[in-house]
Amino acid sequence: MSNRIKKNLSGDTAKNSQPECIHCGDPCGKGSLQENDLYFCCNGCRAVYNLLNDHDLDEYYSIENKPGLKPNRVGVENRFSYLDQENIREKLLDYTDGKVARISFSVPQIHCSSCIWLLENLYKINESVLSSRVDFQRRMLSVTFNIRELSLKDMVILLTSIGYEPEIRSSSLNKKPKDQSFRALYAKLAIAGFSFGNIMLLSFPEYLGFDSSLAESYSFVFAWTKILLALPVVLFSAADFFRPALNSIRQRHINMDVPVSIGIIVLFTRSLYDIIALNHAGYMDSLSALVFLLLIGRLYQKKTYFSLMFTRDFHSFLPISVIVKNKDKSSSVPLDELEEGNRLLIRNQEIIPADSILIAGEGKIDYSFVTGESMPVMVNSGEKVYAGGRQIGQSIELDVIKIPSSSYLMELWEQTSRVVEKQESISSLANRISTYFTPAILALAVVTALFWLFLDPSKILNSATAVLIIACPCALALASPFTLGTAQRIMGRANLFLKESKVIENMSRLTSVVFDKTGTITQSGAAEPVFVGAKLSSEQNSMVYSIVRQSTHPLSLLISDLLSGNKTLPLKNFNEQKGKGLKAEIMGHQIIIGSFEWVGAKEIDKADSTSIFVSIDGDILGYYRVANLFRKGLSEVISSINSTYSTTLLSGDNDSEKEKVSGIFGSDKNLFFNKTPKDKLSYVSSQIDSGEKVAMIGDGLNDAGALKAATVGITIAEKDSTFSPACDGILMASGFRMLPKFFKFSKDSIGIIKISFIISFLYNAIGLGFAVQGTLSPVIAAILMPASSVTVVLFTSLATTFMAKKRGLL
Amino acid sequence: MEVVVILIFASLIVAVGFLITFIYAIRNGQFDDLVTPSIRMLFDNKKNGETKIKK
Repeated sequence: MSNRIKKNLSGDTAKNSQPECIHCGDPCGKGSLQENDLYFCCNGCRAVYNLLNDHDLDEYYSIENKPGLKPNRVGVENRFSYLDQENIREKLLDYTDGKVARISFSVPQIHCSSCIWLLENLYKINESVLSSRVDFQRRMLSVTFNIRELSLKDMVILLTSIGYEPEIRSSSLNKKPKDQSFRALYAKLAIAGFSFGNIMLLSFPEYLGFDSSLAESYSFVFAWTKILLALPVVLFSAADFFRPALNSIRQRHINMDVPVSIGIIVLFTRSLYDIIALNHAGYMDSLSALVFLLLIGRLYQKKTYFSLMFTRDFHSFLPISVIVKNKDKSSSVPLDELEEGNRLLIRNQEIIPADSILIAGEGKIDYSFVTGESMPVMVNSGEKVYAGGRQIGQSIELDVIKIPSSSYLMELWEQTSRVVEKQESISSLANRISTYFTPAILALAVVTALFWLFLDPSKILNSATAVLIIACPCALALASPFTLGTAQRIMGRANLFLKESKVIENMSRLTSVVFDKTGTITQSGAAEPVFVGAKLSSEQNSMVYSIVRQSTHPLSLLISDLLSGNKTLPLKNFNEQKGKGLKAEIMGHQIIIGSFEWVGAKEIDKADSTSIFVSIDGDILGYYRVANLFRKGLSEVISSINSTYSTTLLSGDNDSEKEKVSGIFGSDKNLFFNKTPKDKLSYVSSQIDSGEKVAMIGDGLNDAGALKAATVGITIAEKDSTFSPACDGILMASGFRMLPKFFKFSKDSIGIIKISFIISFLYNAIGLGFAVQGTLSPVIAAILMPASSVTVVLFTSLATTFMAKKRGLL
Repeated sequence: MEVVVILIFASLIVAVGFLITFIYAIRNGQFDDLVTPSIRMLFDNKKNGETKIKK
């Protein structure tokens, strides 16, 4: 090992009581291992470290601090057995000629430069890997390897063993990456910019006032060069505006692209006429400048969208295939080939793909994806299990009763997609303005034409077309994308990732906010209870333990986990009162455990924690304090939101914590418990029907319907790779306390857009002043139009950034 | 002064050449990934003459 790396690694052990794993950085608690003077938190990390060390790849650790990932070594040999199947392999590989193959994986764990370094040095670990390349932004890895020497399955196992397990889901089978759209945009932008600059150069005589004298004979050449340069701009670069404009006209409404297209066409035709028939300069420079600036706006929008893209659909959650047992043979069957009656073998940590009946094995199903409850459900043979649950523990065998496309999960999914497409019903601000704008401009052109008809007919064409040219809403078309794009990026940096910029507009119109409870306002992962009071003897501990084991209340489970080493003693007269406590008699002693009223105590301090009192024979010996699971800053967030919006809590849990929650929410009228996902959906839908604009803040799949139905659906994510189907945005848990600021900021953004519309209208007014008089020369047009666009872009970017700083988001 | 016309066209031809090269680069995938190369270029090469097979 080189000395440089040794220095990096050995410094961490003395700092705190628990050394950190030098591979992944997790604290090395119970299962820690030590080798020389290096600490590892688990066998997996040590294995990766040794593997890298053996292949001379320790530079991995020097690029970033503790960059390692814990490899998921559960069932590795079996998990990827479906990759041995010819048809699946064929669909996954990008290319193969039998000897060499190339495949692109999605590897969400890529998070730093060390990852890139290691993955691109993959050939050092296994010689059959010829080359590998990472696309950091898309989290993709492209590997070219010798498929005769290294099978696809073994390659995936190799990646998993160093902690970079690729994500292979049923959506991978038909996924095609979308970087073609950027290429076309770059090309269009290049051509528009090229023409813009060169036409302006050729227009210098007009700008400098050398109208006729010098360039008479060359004006012909210059003129036609300008036309030639402008042609690809109109035909190719501007196509992105013509197509949506045509589509929108066909659908009988006017979006922003319509006036833009009218402007471009009029500019082009009027210039052609001016140049060819009248030997004037034409407006080609303004035309290409216009298209160029608008395309920049488009590019900005697209880049923002792609950099924050996270959408996953339902199929990316289900596995590709499952093991089906046929008499005594088992085979790997793709998900869409499953049939009713198939006997499935589901192992530890695997997801159940279809509604089935448990036939053999002990079913312990974690339905957190489906209902949000993290407490696993015990299932006995003969009982039903639902798709989406994860089996914990031993392998079980199930008989399929409903094939995947019609099981519970899919039903919830389909139900939510039938909910009205809310994106169209609230049209964006810009489009609404253009609905009025375009007819107004057309009317003005007609009026101008009529005016001149009576006064001086020679000026009709000049003035009417000038009106149409100068009124082009390029500034309007730029205000929205730049403001919303900037706002979206700022929010992304503050850990709120929105699906598209339109969500910001919807956010600014909210009137009501609905919260889910488990996982949204509470954190996942409970803290250990701490006993406050004189230390209990082991006999007393055993007594407490024996009682709490009998109860399945979450608090009882926490205490029983804590005391799990103790003996159990026989009980008499066990009594449990829901929400209050437990009592029993052990060896003659009366034990009472529960809330302060239950044990007959006077209330001590609350709000910050839950207290579970212990009383033996009437003496209150102390209490277990369980730190509150509520997210930090929850009360501030709720009270801030309460002041502007009407708030509601919908919980799938029981109401045992009702008092605490009503303290935070201010009242208990808007708290609802025991709500199923369907209940949540109908609550949100009914609010929407009564005209409210509702934000739903939830934690994922069990409120998927409500999230999709809401005007704005936000999922709270604890870690990077959360599955979030129907939401409009993901809020990382660390950004939760900024939620009210995000709402205010969205209103600010819309205000900024409105102001920039006013700015562009001012420019339009000035320009129209010239246009109706028929005195709009190419020079004036060439100055006004780019000036208005640039002003608007600068203003929106600066104002948005300023407001973000003011709100504390930046 | 008439030479200005020749100059303009000569420069236009050169500029068009650049434009064509740019579009060629786009189609060849040069601009598909603008993030990773910036990180990749900071990696050190090993000193002991190993050859890397780049794609």
